[in-house]
Amino acid sequence: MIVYGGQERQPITLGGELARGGQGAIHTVAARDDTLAKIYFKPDPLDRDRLLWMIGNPPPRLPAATAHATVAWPQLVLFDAPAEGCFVGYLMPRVRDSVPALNLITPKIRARQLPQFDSKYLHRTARNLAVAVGIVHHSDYVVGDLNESNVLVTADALVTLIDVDSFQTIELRGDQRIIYHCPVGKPEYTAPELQGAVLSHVLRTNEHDGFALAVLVFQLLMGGRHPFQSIWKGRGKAPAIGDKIQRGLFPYAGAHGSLVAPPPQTTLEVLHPALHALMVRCFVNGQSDPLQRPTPDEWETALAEAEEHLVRCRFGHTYSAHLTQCPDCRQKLTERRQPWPRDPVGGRPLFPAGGLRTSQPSAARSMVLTVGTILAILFVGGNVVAAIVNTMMGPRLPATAASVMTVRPVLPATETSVITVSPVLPATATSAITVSPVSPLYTSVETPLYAGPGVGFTELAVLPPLTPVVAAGRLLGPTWLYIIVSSTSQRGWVETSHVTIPRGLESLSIPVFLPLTPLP
Amino acid sequence: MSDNQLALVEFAENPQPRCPVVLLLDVSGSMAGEPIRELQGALEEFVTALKADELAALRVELVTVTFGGAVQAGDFVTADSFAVPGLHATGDTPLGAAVMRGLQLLRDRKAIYKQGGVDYFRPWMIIITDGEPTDTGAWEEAAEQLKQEEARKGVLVYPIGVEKADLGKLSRFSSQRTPLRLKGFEFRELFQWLSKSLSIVSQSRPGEQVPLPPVGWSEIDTA
Repeated sequence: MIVYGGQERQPITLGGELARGGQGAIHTVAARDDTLAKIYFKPDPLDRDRLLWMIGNPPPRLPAATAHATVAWPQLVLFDAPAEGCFVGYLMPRVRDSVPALNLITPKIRARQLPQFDSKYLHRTARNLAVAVGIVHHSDYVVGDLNESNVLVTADALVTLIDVDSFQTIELRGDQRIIYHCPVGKPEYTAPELQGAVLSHVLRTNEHDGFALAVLVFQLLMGGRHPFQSIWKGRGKAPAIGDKIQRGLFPYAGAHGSLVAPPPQTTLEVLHPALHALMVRCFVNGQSDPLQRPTPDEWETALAEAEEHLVRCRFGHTYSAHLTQCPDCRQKLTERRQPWPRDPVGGRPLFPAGGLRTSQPSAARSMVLTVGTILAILFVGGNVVAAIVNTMMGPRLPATAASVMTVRPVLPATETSVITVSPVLPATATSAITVSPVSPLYTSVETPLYAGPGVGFTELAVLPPLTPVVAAGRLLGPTWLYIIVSSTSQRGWVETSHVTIPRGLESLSIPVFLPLTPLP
Repeated sequence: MSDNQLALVEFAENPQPRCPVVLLLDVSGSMAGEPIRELQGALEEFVTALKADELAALRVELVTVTFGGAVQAGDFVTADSFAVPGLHATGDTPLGAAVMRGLQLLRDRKAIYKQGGVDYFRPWMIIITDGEPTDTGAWEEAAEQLKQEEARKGVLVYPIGVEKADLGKLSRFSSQRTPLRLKGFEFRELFQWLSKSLSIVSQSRPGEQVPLPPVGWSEIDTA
């Protein structure tokens, strides 16, 4: 397909179709791998006028064309003939190797696609997003349809706003102000005062974008949860997310605690106080007064400060230093700023020297173990698999022969096994146990069992119990402790395993779910 | 660890809204041979297609309830980690008991969604049968309960008849959708339609109306 653009109407050869949306298709451009073309299915002269104005009037702070495209600003309007001809689409910068924010927001996809994205990367992404929206706001444009699919993120946390042709645009033609509305929006990113409105006729403001920006920042930093996702305590069926937004049913703060509660294991306390305050300003104070919503510049400042205050625990989790323990593993902050070894090859072994004893897989169904370490052999679908339970910190299991893990494989067809450990964990144990499933070909203890973010197991997280009974950093009450072991799915490693440790029982059953696939 | 607790851990990793889908599959003796092989193959393709759609794979939760002699049910699993069970044709057609089990699975699952603070789409129940229910007395009651749940907007019911299925009796399981008769054993087309439909639903928001692709796998039933 050949289209024409520029003052001389030079021919431009389009390549294959990359993606297809409701309005048009995105094509590559031959011999220009830094450029994409959007070709409309039903070109509208109004879109042409809007694009021509945008191209002539970019936001003052828009970075130079040579820099990373923070906003995929239109470059050239395209026609179907060298002279006269009809408007068909436009050219824009191409951002390579990026994923929609949606893929980052959901932990399960993130662990697969961008496993290096820890809290620090997510903070930086959020901050770069605030910068991008700020660039738009320091002009007469409004993003309008800011959502998880219109934001691209690269592996180094750079952000690009796309679908720029739907930005609300105001053209000055003589004394006239011609408004090109943003006719679209997703309810979950739409400010309360706009819920239910006919978007194609509403004048959007920066404060409306401010709401969507806060939702995205929340999702990035709060494990993909939407700020208005909640447990419904009212009568009948829970309202839809748009209704919850309209009614201001923010579960984390404000006056609606009798109707909505935060989802389990979710609290705003994990956010740096500056971010926490901005969230409340947006979703509580901003409910009736949109001007209270933080501006992109305010988010940028707070996110930069929060990022400064991130620290890393021994397991490589990154979290805000105002907390007394890592929210992912509830480890005490004994080695606050110790960076996690990132290089598994020749890198430091995970376990403290002497903490882990070598043990060859054998047919033994139980074995006596040394202090702090239990190596168990599971029989899963005919494969010999080792699961290592290591009390890496905090109280250790008693150094007696009683520290025996009995393995009773059950349900081998579903690759599920149950490990029974006796005796019970000491009552003071908080997050004393880490479980690392090991692939059949990686049973050697010399192999790093946890190689840090990006390589090997990407996350060893202990979630608080269902009904958190945590006082002074201690887990109390007859409750459960969750250990999530997730890894990159590369080379057939274990993807995700869930382990639950009941407290206060005579014996301890740890079901280990190992969806193991042998390495190629 | 109870299912609830496992689900809540799963929600922490994947807080996407869920679309639960119950597949009620007739594996009675009359399905033996080509029909069950076609159904098995179509199911595998269906799950592969869902897995290829990143969002649908995280939002669509599947469970199979097979009925042939006895009723057997699995647990709800998101499509990205769903494994198709092996189907074996045997016995009579206790459709009523299967529907009751499906309804119970949905009730339990919705309770878990609520407990976990996860939004959900209206559940789907796909009924595929090639005969008529044999659990007389039970199936009429089950059909009534299913229609009530449908009327409460608690479930979308898709009754589908294969070959000699009694569409008259099948029609009593839904007051909103007339049962469709499958062309021959075109399970593949049916499940292609289903995966496309679920992908479209997954792109929407709970509570929103969504048009579905046209049905191409049924024949016009003049009976």
